[in-house]
Amino acid sequence: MSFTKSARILAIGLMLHWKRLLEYRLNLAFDLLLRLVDSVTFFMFWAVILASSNGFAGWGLKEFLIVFALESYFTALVISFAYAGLYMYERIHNAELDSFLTKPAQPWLLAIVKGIEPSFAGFISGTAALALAFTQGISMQPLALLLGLFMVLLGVAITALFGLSLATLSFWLGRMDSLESVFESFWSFGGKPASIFPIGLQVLTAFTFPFIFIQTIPTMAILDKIPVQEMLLFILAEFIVLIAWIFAFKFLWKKGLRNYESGGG
Amino acid sequence: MAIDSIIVQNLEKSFPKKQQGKKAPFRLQFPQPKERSRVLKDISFSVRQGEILGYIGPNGAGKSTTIKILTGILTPDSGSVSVEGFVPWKQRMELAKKIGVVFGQKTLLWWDLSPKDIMPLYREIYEIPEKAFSKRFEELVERFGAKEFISTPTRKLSLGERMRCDLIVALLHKPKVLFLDEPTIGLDAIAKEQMRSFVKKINREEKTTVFLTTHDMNDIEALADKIIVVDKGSKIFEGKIEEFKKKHVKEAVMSFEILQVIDKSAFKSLLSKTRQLSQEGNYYELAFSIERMDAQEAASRLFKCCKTSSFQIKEQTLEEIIREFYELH
Repeated sequence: MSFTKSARILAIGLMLHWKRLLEYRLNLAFDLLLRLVDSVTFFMFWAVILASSNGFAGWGLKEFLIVFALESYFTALVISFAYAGLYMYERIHNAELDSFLTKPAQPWLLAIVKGIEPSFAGFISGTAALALAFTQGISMQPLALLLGLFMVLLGVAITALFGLSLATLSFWLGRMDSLESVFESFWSFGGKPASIFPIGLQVLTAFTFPFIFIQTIPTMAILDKIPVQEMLLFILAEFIVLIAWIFAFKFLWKKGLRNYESGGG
Repeated sequence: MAIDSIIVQNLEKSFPKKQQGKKAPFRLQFPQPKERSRVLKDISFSVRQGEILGYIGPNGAGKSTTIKILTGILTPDSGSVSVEGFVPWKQRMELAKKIGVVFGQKTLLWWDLSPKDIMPLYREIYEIPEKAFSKRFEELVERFGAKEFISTPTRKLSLGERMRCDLIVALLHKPKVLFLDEPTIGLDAIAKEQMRSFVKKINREEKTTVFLTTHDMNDIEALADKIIVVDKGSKIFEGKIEEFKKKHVKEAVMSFEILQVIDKSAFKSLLSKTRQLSQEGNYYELAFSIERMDAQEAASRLFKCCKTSSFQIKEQTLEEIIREFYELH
């Protein structure tokens, strides 16, 4: 199936979910409220930590503002798309996958399209954080900012593939109830400079929730602490992780599908 | 000459056996246990283009497994299958453009949105040009009388309306083969009748091959040109409904109310040649072997010996035959 067809299907899926979201405006308002609470908590936490120390691994509020913006975009996209991939395990277990398998499109793409949960609050809070940084006179490298957003997109693809790959395990395993908590446990590595973690953990998170690619490196580059050229190396590394996941997912999906037992009847 | 739309040869499928015993919960399902239960055993058949095949059997007979292999959902252990020239599990995407599938217990619609809302998604999935799509969609809505509810959110639709919309989705791309897995399950009598007439219409007007699995023998009698009966994974009958009936209908039931017995000994002889099912006053219900006496003979024997106020001969329905057949097997 061509990339353009996939993109068009995804776009229509987004449009349909937008329509659905407008039907339930209250959910949207509640989502915004939760994000506001989350933002306040984030800044209160780091304000307390930074007040009782001389910075955190060389980071101050300025860095955390950028981190927050990037994480907000990442969170919005992960909630919107990557969770739909993770929840494919339910569609495998309840045999909803059957309907997707009888369509001339990738069944996992159709599972994602149906499961999209647009989260706009993250985009609003991310943009608000960047606007605040701008009004506070924090100097930002525009190219690094653009590349940083690109790294966020690649990071979302990595996390989505991680979620999809986890979901394919349900072709073999019966109980997958704790899958969501395993997936979510990686959130705890976010919102901090990656350098505080041992190298093993940094590599592990690069393959799951790649905070080093979506937060640490872009933040340093945006604030001109590392040259933009250095970012390109990390973009290359992110691409390698992404390609590794594409192969891993394709392998698991192919093997799993042969093992698919469907259900009912 | 009619060409075969579906060709199945020596199809076999097994699933890993569920682990038994006290220690079973502590054993991993991975790697898969080697013990397997065979759900399809050496199934072979063919369906001609434009034919309606009724694929019937009791629960666990292997009906759904067959339909899932034919639509590319499951991969068989061995055997060969060709649906419109494609091997389903190897050419799933290509095949999907040629077939429509409706699972009675699963919907293609989105709960919060109306069927009309999600049509652009299916237009894109099937890559139907905008103009052709609009024409086809309107034509199907008109044909299935869905104008009134096509814009209603799916959650507000009745089961019958939802099934009609599912059928519309499955037919958008003018499939050559329509797979229907229990399409009338849970529907009321009117909705069932409507569903049958829609399927018949599509089959007649578009020469669509229909592969139908159902537990409702009225669906089969109303629609199927040919039936295949499966049990415990094996095919036990393939042919016309009439052939099946001829082969398996053993008895007919004659019911009547006697006003006057004219010839007592002839009446006695009639009773001896039949099996009395019930008698209430002058009202009798007698079962007779159709191998020994056909309906016409039974009636003439009765009228020779009795004057009756009511008379009826009823052959076993397909439902009753199938039920007995399942019990026997």
